Amino acid sequence: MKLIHCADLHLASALDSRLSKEKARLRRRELLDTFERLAERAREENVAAVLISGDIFDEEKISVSAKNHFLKIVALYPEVDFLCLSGNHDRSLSEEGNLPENLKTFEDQWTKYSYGEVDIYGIEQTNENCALLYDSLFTDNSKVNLVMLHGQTIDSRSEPAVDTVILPMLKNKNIDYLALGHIHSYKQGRLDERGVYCYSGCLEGRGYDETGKKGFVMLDISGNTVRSTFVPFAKRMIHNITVDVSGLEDGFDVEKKVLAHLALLENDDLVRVELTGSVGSKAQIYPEDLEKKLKERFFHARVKNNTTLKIDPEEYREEMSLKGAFIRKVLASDLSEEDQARVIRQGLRALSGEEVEEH
Amino acid sequence: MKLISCYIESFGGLSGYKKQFNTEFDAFFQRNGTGKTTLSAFILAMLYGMDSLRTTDKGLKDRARYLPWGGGKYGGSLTLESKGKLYRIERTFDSKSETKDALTVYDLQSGEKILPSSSPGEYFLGIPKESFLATACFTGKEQGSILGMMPRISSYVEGINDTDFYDKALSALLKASKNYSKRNSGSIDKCKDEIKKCTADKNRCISASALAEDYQKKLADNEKKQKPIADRMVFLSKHAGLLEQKRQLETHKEQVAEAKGRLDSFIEQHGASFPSDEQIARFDRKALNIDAQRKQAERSVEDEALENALIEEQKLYGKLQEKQFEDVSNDADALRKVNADLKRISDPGKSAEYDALHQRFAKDLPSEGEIHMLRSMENGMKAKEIAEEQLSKEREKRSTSMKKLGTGVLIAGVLLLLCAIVLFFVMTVLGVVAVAIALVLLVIGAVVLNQAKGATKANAAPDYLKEQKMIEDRLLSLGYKVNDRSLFLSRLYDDRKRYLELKEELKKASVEADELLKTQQELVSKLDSFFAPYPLPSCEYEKKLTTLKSQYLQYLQNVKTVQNRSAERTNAAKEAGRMQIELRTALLCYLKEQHEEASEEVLLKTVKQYAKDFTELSKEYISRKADLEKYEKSVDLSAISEAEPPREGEWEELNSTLEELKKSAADDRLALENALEIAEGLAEAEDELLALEEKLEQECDRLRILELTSSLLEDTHNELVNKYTEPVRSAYEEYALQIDPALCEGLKVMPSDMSLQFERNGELRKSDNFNSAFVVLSNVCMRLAILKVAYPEECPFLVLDDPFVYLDDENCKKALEALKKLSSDTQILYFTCHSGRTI
Repeated sequence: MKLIHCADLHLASALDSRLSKEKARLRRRELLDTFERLAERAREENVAAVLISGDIFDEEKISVSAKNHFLKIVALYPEVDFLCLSGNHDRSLSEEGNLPENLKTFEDQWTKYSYGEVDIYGIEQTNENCALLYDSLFTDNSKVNLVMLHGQTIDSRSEPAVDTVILPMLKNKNIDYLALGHIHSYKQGRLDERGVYCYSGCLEGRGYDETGKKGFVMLDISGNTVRSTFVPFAKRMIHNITVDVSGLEDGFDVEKKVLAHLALLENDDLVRVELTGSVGSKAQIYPEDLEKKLKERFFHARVKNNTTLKIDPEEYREEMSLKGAFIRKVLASDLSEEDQARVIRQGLRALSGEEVEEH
Repeated sequence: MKLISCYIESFGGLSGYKKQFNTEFDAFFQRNGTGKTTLSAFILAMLYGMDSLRTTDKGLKDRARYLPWGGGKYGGSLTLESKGKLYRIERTFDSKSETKDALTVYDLQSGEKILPSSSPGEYFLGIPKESFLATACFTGKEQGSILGMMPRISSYVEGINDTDFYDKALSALLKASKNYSKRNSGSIDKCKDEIKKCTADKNRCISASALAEDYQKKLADNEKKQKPIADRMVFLSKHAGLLEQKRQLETHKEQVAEAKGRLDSFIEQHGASFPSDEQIARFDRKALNIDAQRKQAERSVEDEALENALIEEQKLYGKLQEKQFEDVSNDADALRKVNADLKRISDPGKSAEYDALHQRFAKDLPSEGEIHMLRSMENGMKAKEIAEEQLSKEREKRSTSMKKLGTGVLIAGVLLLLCAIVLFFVMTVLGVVAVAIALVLLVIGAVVLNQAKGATKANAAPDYLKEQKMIEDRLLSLGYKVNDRSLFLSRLYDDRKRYLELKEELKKASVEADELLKTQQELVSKLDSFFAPYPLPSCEYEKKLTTLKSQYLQYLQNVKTVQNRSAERTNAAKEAGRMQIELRTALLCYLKEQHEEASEEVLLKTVKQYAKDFTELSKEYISRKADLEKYEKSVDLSAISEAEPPREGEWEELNSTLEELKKSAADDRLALENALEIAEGLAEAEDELLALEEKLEQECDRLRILELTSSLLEDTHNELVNKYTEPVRSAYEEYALQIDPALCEGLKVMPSDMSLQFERNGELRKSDNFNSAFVVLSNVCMRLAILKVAYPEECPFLVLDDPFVYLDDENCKKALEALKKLSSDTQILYFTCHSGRTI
């Protein structure tokens, strides 16, 4: 039997990637499209059920159109069950009316759905039940047991709380696979001798803090064995690339180096480039221009200039000029290193008659 | 630096002029026009040279002004001391161009030449000419300027040489800052405005979302209110429905009873036994058969016509027999034969041939003997003709030779005549003789020719021609056009023979024809009388016979047909009668009433009608009964008794309330849709807000950096400037106090340009605002202070060309005393034309 484990869809959410209005709209649409592709994939693979471990939506108040779209997709694939757990960002779908028959929700008590020899348990965590849920979980040892939860794993025994999953308290409960949601990157670890816990990660990255491959986990259950495979599935990948431009003075050279670093990336992706390293005071680095150029190639791009100014205070100790005096003054001030670099860079540009505006 | 001495070779009005300078205070009093200015100009020229003359020069330049009046070498030398070393500058000037000037600088101690890259003044003093003029060399008429001294001052104080860019830099930074910080139009304020708008949008979305929830709750409540009303209305309509059902049931029962009544009545009247559809179909078929037989038994119009036609035919063909046809056929054959013979006999070709020959020979038929004679004559004529021809040929030949001879003789005669004429003039006698002979020859020639002519003429009429004519005449008389006598003679013979043959033949034929005609007439008469009664087309007898035969056969056929038809009719009538009886018997079984008198059609019709009616009535009854049963099963009238009976007007009340609720729900739904539409924009609004907040943060940060940069740069610059404004101020005060303390009151040295400003009555005023004496004295002190600061180690000499013209005596005295004191540090060359202004 096959199952799909995914989580943190965050449909119709705000995107933390500073996209333009149109691109943000498109990206939100893509979140829904990816979910639909997942449903189609589930049908193609004869998946019995799709386990969604929380945060299907992004707000307590679900966007109606997003909700309707989601429900329509679910209804379009009646041969696949969708087991939906709520997360810290959305409320339970069980409160909604007119749900498709193949959409299964959970309650604030353990709810079980059986598929032959496979039992799937889930519970909506509340302040009232978060302390009791670990002790109230009873599973059948002879069956393959999957448990769905949403929250941050904690390795040590501590006070239970909503949105936390205390792993030690789930050991030895005949759990073969703990399908978790909340962390937006794929991560798997051993729960106990019998089972594993796994964060499937989100289906699509939404901001530059969600880089790397995103997708779902395909579970292949045969007999008592649960074999899990991560399947990258996102339409677009988000990258954070650091490029050391030390020693480069010319904007063209900087651009060339950056592009070389990005050569292997797909044009559909989102890229944030962080320029690092130490550059001279005369360095011609214009992040906005570079960003504009990258936007022509990628779906979206951002460039952040985190280079430090290469100034040897000793060099300017003896320099008898306004410039030298200025640099000495700045270096002697109590400004942060970054501010010092920026002030010096700007001051020198001003004294050279160049554009003083930072980009 | 100090000037030691100078030698002026020729310079303006000075020539061969020597001067040793006092190394401290050298007061040079000379009246006007005695060379004070020339001397100071010479010093300046030796240090800094003179500009070339140009045609575009306006006014007199120094190079032209100081051209040696008395000629001589334009130039001289200047000995000076700098940093403990002695130098001599030797310089000569071109009258026009500085490029042609000669300059040599000697180190008097080493004796080596020094090749300064710049002018000696810049080399030794480190300042350009303008700066020198603006500081170390001045008159009371000019305001000094320290601008040109700034680099010197800066480089001496801190070695700083980029302060020129400071203003532009600061201006750029301030301008950039303003772009961010400008009230209302700066990017930060704009960003804040956008954030406000975006926040308002977001709040609107949130409000709309909350409103949407309210509307959803309202709709849910509305639905809850509607449900009992709708249920009650359903119940009421159900109740009404039940009553209606009951009524319907009664109706059904009545209908069933009525149908049963009708059926029973019918059965009572007509019985219940009726033929089935199949049987009725059989009866119908039978009735149709009876009709068909009857029709067949009737004489049809065709039969009648046929019989009538037969009667007529009988009249014509009734008496005909087969044998007659045979006889007629034989007669026709005989007639045909007779006609053939007749035709054969009267061969028109032959007749025509005979007619033509008859026309020729009817009146004049030549005998055989005559023809034979003519032929003999013809043969003989031919022989004669041939001989004649031969003779004619001989004669021709002879004539030709005679002609030749005659022509030759004539020609000879002519020639001889010509010769004779010539000879006549040579020799008359001989000429005469020749003429005579020529004449003779001519005569002979003419005679011969004449004879030749006569010879060709044959005899006018040879004998055989008569015979020829005779033959031809004879042929012509017989109508032959004679071209070839032999041929026509032969034809004549053949024609005669043919004529006679034809004549004989025709004679025989005529006899035969008579007989045949007779026979023909008989046969024709016979045949005509046979065929006359019958309607036959005009044609040959054979065809008539054939036609008649076929007519006769047709007649026989018609007879048979009529007979057959008659038999058929009889049979059909019998059959019809039989079937009729059968049908009647069968139908009467189904009828209760007496119908003996009625025809079988009527009986059948009646039976059918009864059967139909019975079927319909039965069906109706069965159908009504089935409907009743069905209806009884479908309704549950027991619910009527459980129901709470409706009140009067209850339905209308409830309906009205429900309508109101529905309307309200529709309005709420619309409002909900609108609210949801607005709420949908929340994610976008949040996105935008995030972006704007980051942008604001970024811009504030950039503004902060700009302000920091401009502030730090300004501070740095001011510090730098303050580093040398203070010494200058201090030095100024030192000098000013020696002259007049008022010169220091409220003193401020502006760092930007080192200008002096004095605070009076709380206001800073420039030195120009004060009296001339104040201006001059402050100027002098300022120059001295600058020079002191600019040249901390070795101050250059000062050239003062009557600087105190505007001072009163007291001030002038003070100034001079101050100068005296200063001269211990600085060589002062003081020029004046006022005797009272010297020390």
